[in-house]
Amino acid sequence: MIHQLLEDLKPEFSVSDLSDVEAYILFNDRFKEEISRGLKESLKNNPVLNQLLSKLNLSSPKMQDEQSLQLQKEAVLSNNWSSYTNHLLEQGATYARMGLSFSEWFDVLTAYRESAYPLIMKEYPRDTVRAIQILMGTDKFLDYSFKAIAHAYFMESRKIIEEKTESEEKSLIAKRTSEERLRAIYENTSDYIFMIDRNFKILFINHTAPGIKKKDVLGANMLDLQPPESRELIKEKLEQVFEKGNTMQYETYIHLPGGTSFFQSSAAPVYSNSRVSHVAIISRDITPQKKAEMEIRQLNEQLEKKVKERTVRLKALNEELEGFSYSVSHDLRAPLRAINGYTHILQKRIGDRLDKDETRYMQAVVDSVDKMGHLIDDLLTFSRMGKTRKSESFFNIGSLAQKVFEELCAPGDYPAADLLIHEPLPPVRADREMIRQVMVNLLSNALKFSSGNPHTLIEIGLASESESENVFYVKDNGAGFEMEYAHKLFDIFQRLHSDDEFEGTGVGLAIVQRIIHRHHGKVWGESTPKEGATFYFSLPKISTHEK
Amino acid sequence: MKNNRKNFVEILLVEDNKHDAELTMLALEENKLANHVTWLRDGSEALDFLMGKGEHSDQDTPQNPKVILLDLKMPKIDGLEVLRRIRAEESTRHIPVVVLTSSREEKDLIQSYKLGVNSYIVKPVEFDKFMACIKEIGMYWAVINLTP
Repeated sequence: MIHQLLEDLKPEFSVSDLSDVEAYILFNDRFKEEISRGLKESLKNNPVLNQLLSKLNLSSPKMQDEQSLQLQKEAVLSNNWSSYTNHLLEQGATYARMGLSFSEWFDVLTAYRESAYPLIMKEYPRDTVRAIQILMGTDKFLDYSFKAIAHAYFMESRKIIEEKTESEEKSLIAKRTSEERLRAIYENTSDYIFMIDRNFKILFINHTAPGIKKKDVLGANMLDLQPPESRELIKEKLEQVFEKGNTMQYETYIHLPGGTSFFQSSAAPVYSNSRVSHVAIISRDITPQKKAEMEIRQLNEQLEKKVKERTVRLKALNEELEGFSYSVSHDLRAPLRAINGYTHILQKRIGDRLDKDETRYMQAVVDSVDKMGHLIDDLLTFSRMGKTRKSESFFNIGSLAQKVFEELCAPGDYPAADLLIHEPLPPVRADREMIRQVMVNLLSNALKFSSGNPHTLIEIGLASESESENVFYVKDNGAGFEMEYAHKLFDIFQRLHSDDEFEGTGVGLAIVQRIIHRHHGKVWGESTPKEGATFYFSLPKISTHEK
Repeated sequence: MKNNRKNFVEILLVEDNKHDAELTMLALEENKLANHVTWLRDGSEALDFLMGKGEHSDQDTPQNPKVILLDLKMPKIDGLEVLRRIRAEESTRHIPVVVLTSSREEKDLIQSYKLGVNSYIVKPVEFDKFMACIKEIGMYWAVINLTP
């Protein structure tokens, strides 16, 4: 390729041409210093050229440097132009790459001629033939040089332009590709991406929600689309993005044709000339999460409301119950007292006039009223044991039992009864008043059901002891009960004996169970009919550090 | 006024239940204590009587009985409120007050003592006990006890 080029650019010098050129070369060689000086002088006033020369690090144009002169000489003398042509081509390409214009190079040639011609004329004032020969040689040589340089210059320039175009095209393609990718992302994402200017005007949006036209949104003030109560806050945040270049997050909601939608938004600055000119906002629809959140909150609120309602109802029910038991205590007893009182007065006033049956009828009224009175008292105790607050203290269950036993026997109803307490008994921590009631009920039961015996022996002791609890027992030698009914013992109003055998209300053991349960203990009974009954109850043990 | 036998009141019975009232009166009669008993049916009547208001405003000087037998559960003004007002008033604060009630409720008991009751008696259902109880109250407060 380059060989072909060199062949094409080979100067077509005839023999005479060649001798003219040779004459010029010899002259130029001889006067190279003067010519260079003249050349410099001529170019002194050409600032563009000087600037270029200094860039090329040359004191004068290349045509006059040592290498060029040597190559010129060799080419002419051997008539082999390839090296020198190559040299010229390089020069042309260099000038093109350096941005030297063609006319400036032309200026150099002119300056050379202006410098060389007077010298030639001066050197050969009489030898006109010789002078003309050198002048012609100069022109021929310069024409050739110019041709080669111009050729390279244009070739190089074209190449540069082509390269530039190519790289521009490449970058254009690259740009287009990345833009297309971005477009694919923002057009297909479900997030809303939009850009606002300093007046919060929406300049661009990737897509809009169903039912909202893009043209209605574009140009609108984005603050107008926000709910009134959060407008100010969002404005402040966006202003921070504009002023400080921060990235801000905010949540908002918008009433859309399809219902209210909630958005999580992120606003980021967009710079232009190193200041924030726009803000890009990405809004993600978080309506489903929000709805789920709200549902959970609603459910919680409902639940709380229900709990509150229940508590209120329970409280009311409790108060009602309390009122009820108060009413039972007060109002049920009053008529009983009246029945009892008037019956007694009647008995007193007309008792001696009544026959045997009539006296019995009278007594039945009095007995029934008595029983009703006990029933009411027991029921009230039962209810009280369920609701009064426990106040715990330490005490010895044996001495408590002893006291209760003495009180029960005081009226002299049970002259043949003994109480045997198997000491030592561990101390208990419980509500003393409640445990007293337990003892009253268990001991009075024991006394009552043993009353048929000539001698009653009641024993109290510790049945067993575990890490967590003490089990006490109250044992009698009375009538006992059949074990197959043991499960009914503690049910309220349940009786295992008829009133004719043993009187009772069927509440006593229910009270015992209620109290023991309130102390987190257990109660049960064992018996063999006619041999006596044993009642066991457990109370949680006092841990050593509490002792 | 204490010498005016007609208006002289030793025992003031405040009781809304006429049967209870009658039985109480009977018990007092049996023990010859019923001569100077006045029975009022509710709290507001009792206060009017003691403070000389309403129906009793014609009294020259309000009567201070030797003892007031006071029921708790009564219409209009209940026994606890009557007790509170008696104790708040200078002229009546020293009158002995015996609460005579059917209520065994602890809160009534505690509240009564907080308000300065002199005695708290639960009316026994059994007639004999009831009679004995009224007799003892009457004897103690109306006969034995001294007041300023």
